[in-house]
Amino acid sequence: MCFHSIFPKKKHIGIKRISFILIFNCFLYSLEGQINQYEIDTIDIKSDLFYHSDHLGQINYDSSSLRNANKQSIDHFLSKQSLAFIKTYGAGSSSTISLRGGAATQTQVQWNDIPINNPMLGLNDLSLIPLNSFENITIVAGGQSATNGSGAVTGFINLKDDIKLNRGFKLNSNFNIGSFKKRSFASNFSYSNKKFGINVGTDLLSAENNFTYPINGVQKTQSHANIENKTLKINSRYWLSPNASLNAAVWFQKTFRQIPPTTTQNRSFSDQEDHINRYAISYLLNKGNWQFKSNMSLLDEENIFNDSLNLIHSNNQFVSIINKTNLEYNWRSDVDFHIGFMINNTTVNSKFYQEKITGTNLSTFFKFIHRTRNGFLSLAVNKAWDSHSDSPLTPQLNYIIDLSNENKIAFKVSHEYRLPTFNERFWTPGGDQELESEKGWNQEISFSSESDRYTFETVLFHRTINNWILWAIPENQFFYSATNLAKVQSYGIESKINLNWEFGQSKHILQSGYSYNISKNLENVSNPNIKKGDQIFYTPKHKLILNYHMKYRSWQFDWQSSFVSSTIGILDQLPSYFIADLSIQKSIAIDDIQTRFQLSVNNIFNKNYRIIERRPMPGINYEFKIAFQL
Amino acid sequence: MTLIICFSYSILCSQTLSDFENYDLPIDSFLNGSEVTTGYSSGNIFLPNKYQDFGAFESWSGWGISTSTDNVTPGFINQQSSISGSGYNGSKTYAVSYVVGQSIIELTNNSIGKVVDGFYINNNAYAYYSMLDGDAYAKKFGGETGNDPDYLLLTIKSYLNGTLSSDSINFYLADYRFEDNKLDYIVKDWTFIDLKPLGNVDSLIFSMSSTDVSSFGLNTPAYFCLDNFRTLDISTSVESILDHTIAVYPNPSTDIVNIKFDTNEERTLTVFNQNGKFFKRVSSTKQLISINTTDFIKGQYFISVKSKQSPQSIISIIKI
Repeated sequence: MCFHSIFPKKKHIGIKRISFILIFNCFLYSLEGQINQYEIDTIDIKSDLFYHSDHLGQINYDSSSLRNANKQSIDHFLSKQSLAFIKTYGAGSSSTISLRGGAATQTQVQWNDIPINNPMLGLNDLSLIPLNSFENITIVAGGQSATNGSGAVTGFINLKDDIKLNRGFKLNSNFNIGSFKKRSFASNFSYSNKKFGINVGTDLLSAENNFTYPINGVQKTQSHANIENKTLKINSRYWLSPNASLNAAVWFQKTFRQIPPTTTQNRSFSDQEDHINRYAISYLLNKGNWQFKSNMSLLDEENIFNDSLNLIHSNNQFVSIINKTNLEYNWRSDVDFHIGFMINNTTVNSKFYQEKITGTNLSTFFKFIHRTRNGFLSLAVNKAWDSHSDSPLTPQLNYIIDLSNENKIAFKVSHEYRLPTFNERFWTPGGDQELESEKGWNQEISFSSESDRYTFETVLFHRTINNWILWAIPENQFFYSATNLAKVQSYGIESKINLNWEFGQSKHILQSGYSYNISKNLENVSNPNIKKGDQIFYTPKHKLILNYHMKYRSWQFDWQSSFVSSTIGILDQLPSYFIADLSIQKSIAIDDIQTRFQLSVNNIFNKNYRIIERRPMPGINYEFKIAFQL
Repeated sequence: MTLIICFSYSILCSQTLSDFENYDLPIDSFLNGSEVTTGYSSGNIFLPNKYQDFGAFESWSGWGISTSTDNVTPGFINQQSSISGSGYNGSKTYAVSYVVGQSIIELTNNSIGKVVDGFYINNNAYAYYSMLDGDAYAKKFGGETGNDPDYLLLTIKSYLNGTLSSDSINFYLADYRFEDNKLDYIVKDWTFIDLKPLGNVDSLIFSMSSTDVSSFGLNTPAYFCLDNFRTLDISTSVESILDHTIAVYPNPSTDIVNIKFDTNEERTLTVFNQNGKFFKRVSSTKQLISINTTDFIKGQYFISVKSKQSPQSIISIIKI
């Protein structure tokens, strides 16, 4: 869903206004008498739930909807806004995603089209991705290996930066104070003229996360759960000509967080530091019927785990150099050819490996697109060569038929794969260099319908993955090893409906979605103890979201709620839960500064729930945000 | 009774002690198989070890030999220590078992096929603190409320002539199943386990179970420590006298020894010393029977357990 900015565009700001932002914290209360309130432009509400590209099921969130959401990181945002299941270990702790019953390692997370999944773990901790500093986030559910390579078995999330020509100065800042001593500051400064543009985003967060939760009627307090995060993102673009541009971006992040004890642990002395340095440079050229794009990225990350009580210190590092190059050729008005490759050279260093390991992967893809009078046909194929594992040939066929102007139906068949991670191959003990890739087939049928007042989409999907990799203790061994142990079949339905209407001066959006997802093992596994037909761990069969947005003059009201059915954990069955958040905003303008006050009440029904066993989640909590735009 | 006393007396006269002091290790040492061995011998027993070297890391299971004194540090890093920081009775050396599936003790020399008297057992420091405080993977016993009926159970079976015994001896290294939480305990003193009820044996099989399990198996660290293993180098034709689930704690004891059974039934417990002298008789239908030993002088005693439903058992206790 996309709620466009409530702020009218401003081209210039003065130093006085910048100073205002910087010192605002000090003078917040003394300014009350000076505020001259007046109404600002009404919000331009537009649902972007059904952005159509060459496949249905893609959701785009633009920068204003990301900033408007009042969520710190992408995991919180997606748990409320999408049908993806977010598996989180608690406030301030790690979070991973499960799309359509897949594992976190089967969803690719990208930064400007470059995969940024940790190559050691194969996944990305979504709690480390701040929401404020991206121009656009795209989620595509459904198999995408043919166009994105390994790890996009269940889809991908693309975090995008973007700078547009000649937009002048722009500054967004917000301060957030919340329960559990949460303090955050986020700022986005951008400038662009006819040749050059730059965007600087910062995100600072600290929170103690010392919430209380009930155990048998007694309130207990979460301890040792501090988090501190500092993020700096700089993105610049230089237009070499109207058709060519050069982009350079950096993303620095440092996160420190204590790892809280479980509910059955008296104390924890564990903490974790994540040091992330990402660099990217890209070149884009449009010439006649040709479009060429090449992106070279360097990902340098370090994860440090400490446990002072148990005298454990581990330091895992990796450096990836990735080049992704695409060439698109519009042969005829109705036919396109895309060809591309991605080469990835990764070096990992950990005391858990016997030596420093380097791996190289070359992935190539070809795509043919034919736009027919009443539809769209695409055929893609991917072939990869990896220095450590075999990769299958992965084709994808996608056919979208326009039944009418409003209605579409789509069919998709694709082959999917995921290469074993570095840990799965080289971890000592237990890594297995002979592991095979996870691979299988994915089938989807989608129907969508949209008009000015509504959008509707439903997807039936089916997927079977062989060689599913699990860590288990094999017979005659006494340590966990990565093994191609399971065969998992997933099928279900995802339906989403959006309604929007106006009533007097008020505008309304109702967004709802429901997913039914069976992901079951097709074979008995002895260790871990998984019976044939069992739903896989931490995968709810049902998820329902129901969100309501109302805008009346300068007031805005948001209700976000989700229901997640019970899941099977490795220890226990976890009960279902229904969580709702409420947010009220008031927008005003002070001189040329657009100001927004937002009060949010999260978990408004104070539901005591858990997503992982022994990991409590916070009950009702509050946040107050002040946002500015110049 | 006379027969039992005579039997008890005779077996005390022909026993071999395995106390692992033959390794003569410096203090705070640990042998885990990295020195290239298939196991460890002491007295008339052999303790197999599995070891794998992964370069920067090593992994072992089965048995190790320790002189570690660190009974303070929790966590995996202290997997080599007993919770008392020493062997039985303050001795320097003791054995540590990490049970993956099962650990084995093989009888050797003239103990093969003979009766085993018993051994002293204690919790390992890693397992003890994990049960007491919890860790990132395992729960503290009692759980969130303190009322979870948790336990860590060691089950001992035996082989004789290639046949696995149907009988077993259970010993609770921790037991939180009491209705009164004050009675919940984690063993932290060396405690004697009487193996005579198993009769003649060639080898012993140790397995562990816990209430804290996941789909991946046991969460509680599956470790225990062993010392002063006594083989009786005689065979017995006396019928195996076994109560399947008798827990005796603390043992050795100073004033009270608790004897816990799995079932409620009428039992008569008779205490006598090594010479067969009668000391005390207690009759009770309770699961937990406490015997006051304040008046006993230091030494070893036997408790005969009789009931209508179960065969007679003899328990060995130590008064200190």
